[in-house]
Amino acid sequence: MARIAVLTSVAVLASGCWAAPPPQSSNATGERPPAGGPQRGGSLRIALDLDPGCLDPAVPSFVPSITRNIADSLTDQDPDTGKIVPWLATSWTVNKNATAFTFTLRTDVTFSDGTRFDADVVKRNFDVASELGAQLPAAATALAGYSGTTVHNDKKLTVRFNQPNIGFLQASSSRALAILGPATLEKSPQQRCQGELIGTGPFVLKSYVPDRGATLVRRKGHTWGSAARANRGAAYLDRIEYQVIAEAGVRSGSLTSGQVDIIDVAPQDEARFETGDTYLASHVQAGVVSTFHINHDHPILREKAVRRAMLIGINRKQIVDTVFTPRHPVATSVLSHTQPEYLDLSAALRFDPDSANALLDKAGWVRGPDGIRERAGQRLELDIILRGMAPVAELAQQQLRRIGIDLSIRQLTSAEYREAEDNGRFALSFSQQSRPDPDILRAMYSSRDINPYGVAPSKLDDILEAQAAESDPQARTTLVHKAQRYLIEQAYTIPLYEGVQVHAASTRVNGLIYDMSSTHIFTETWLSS
Amino acid sequence: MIWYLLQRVLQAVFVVWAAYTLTFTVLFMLPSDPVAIMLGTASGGETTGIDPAQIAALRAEYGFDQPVIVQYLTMLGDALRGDFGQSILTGARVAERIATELPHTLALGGLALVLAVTLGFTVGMLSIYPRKRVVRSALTALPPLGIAVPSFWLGILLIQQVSFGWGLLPATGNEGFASLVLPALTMAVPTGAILAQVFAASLRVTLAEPYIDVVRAKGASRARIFYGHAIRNATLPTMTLVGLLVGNLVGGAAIAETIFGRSGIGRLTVQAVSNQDIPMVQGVVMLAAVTTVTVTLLVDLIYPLIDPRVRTRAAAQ
Repeated sequence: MARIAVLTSVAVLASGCWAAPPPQSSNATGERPPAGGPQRGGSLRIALDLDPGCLDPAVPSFVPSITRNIADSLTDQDPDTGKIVPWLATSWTVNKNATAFTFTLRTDVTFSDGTRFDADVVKRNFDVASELGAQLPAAATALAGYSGTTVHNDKKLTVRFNQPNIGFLQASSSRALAILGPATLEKSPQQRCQGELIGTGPFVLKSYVPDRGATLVRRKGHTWGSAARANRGAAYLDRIEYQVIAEAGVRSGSLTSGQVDIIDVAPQDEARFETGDTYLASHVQAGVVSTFHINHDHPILREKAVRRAMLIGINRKQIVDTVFTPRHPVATSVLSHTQPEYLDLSAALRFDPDSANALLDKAGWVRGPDGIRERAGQRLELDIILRGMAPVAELAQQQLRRIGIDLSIRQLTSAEYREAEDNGRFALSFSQQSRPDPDILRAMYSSRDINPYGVAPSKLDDILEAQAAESDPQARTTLVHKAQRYLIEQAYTIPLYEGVQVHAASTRVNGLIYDMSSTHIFTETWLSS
Repeated sequence: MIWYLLQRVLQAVFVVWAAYTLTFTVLFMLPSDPVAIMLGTASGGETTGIDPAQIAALRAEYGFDQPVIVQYLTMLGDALRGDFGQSILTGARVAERIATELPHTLALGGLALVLAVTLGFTVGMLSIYPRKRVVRSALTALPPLGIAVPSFWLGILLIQQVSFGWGLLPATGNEGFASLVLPALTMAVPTGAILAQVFAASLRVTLAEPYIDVVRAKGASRARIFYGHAIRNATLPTMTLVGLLVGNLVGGAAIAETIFGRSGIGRLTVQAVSNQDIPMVQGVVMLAAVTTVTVTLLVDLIYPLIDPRVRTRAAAQ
């Protein structure tokens, strides 16, 4: 089975939005009560575990916050409702079948090199992204089916697609489609990657040295912050300094000794930063949760009973309690609870080993001498491919063994993983998609789309196609609910837990907020003296 | 002498070519897809759709659709002209990146080498020369300890105490001489320990040589025997070792630069390898091969200066 090599990363295809408060801990948003209002000035120092790799917003990056804070998007996503709100565009309309999007733009915006922001430069952004195609993968994904942009006047334009693409409205708020200046559009993809980027954002990229870090400085006179922000004017911070410190222990020590202000934290280290001069900030990623993906072409997994048995035979709570911390919510649908179109399906995902066993018994899978089930000489053996996150898979392995399924773990490199996934040489795979728009479900589970998991044609295809063409948010949500229910009922996939980004910060850092894909937004951030 | 030199240079060229070809072969055999890396699989792993036609276009643009041998010859030809291509991940020119990072690693490696040689010779000498047995045994025990201590552990220990504890030196960064001290020390300890061990052993052997007895019989003082006669001879094997250890320092730099958050050739290598950034790995391997070959060549050429016997032998030929 030749599976088309059409999977790429869109970690960045997310929108500007605040942290929605995680459900289990009231102080988990990372926002500390401001003591006497924001103070201006100061330099925020952030330790990174990795070099950003490529800075271009249209390309996935290890450190999306750098470009998210130097380039604005046409729209933004409201923190509480997930609604699209004005940013560089003041208003927009979508045609009935979601193939044409007309935006009206602000007229007071300039790029950091002084060039004016207008409809023409927006058109050129989309045209260039479409031309460069796979060289700007995140943007190319957002612009799938792009057929062109019509400029009506300085401040009005229509973006057209040759197929329904309601997801584009959310994509217009994403980092992937952040608007860059005319000077940047002349540059090669390589130059853009290395930081030759001009945006309209609240910060300007002053320097970037690979493997060492980057420095952002405040843009003076930035007055066009998104409607989702409390501070729509200039940022409070003078500078943001990113420094690459690869060693986790040294990053921790740098924070506790006051040499940096923010670091990322692994679950096992969370507790030590909850006291003293540091605190934890976390954000639950919107979009699809961390999932065991099912290869529907696998002979055993074509059988619904086996898929369902796994769905309820895995103890999600135990996984979260053992491998993570209470900050990491258990999955209660295929979508994260922070996704506006989320539907609570916790009842259907309840851990129920008895029913799982009954399902497999009924399907004729009989336990062999070693406790693993067999049927007509075939053992109930499945493999799972993963990159990292072994503890989760190991725990699932133990849990599935109890219902008579033998799960073997194949730890692969990125390249091997991709090869196995592209060629369908796996039973289960393990990853998380983080685009905070439900149209991601179409790319993953529609048999008429890319169909990376070999799903058979079903009424799900119609539902997913209908939501992509539904411009009424209410009606679309209903369709997305339907899709979630179908995916769980048919056990098309095994959701596990919601992705959470956890950072530790010095107590002098205030107003630490995230957008929907857990990227830091620094317009609200300030340092107490 | 000219013929000897020419022979050595030809050998060096062969070693460099072999290293290049071997790296290419190994990298090619890895189940790596450069285009997948470009598309950012390495940077997150989240996946969604992109047009297969666009991917094919990208593959063709970078020549990854060509037969292996064509790719190899193209890359080799470009490399001969000094063009090592560009990073798959970031698009940065490989030669430029190496040129930017090299000074940092040279400074670090240079200081580490100076520290290692100083440490090695001092400890080696002091574990033989003093009359007090306690001092000698204490110092003899030091080098094995230095070799046994993992350098990443030593580095973290130094950071914890010197930087986080006392606040004396910066824990991370590339700025100024102060930032060099701790990583250089971390790299110098294992290297210096090996040198000390070899030098001490070599001194012991030399001091047992008959010519030392002759010198002693002629009434030379203890210090005179030691400094005037033994050290020079005992230095020879240590010199060979120094040449080999320069290669080791490149590996040490990868560890030290990672722990101490410095950029440099070591970090560049680690990043390139973990991202399977083939052109970048090729560039770094070339650098390491050329450096090692050059240093070995230099050591060979310095030999006659230290050991008159080598000189006479060469002259006799």
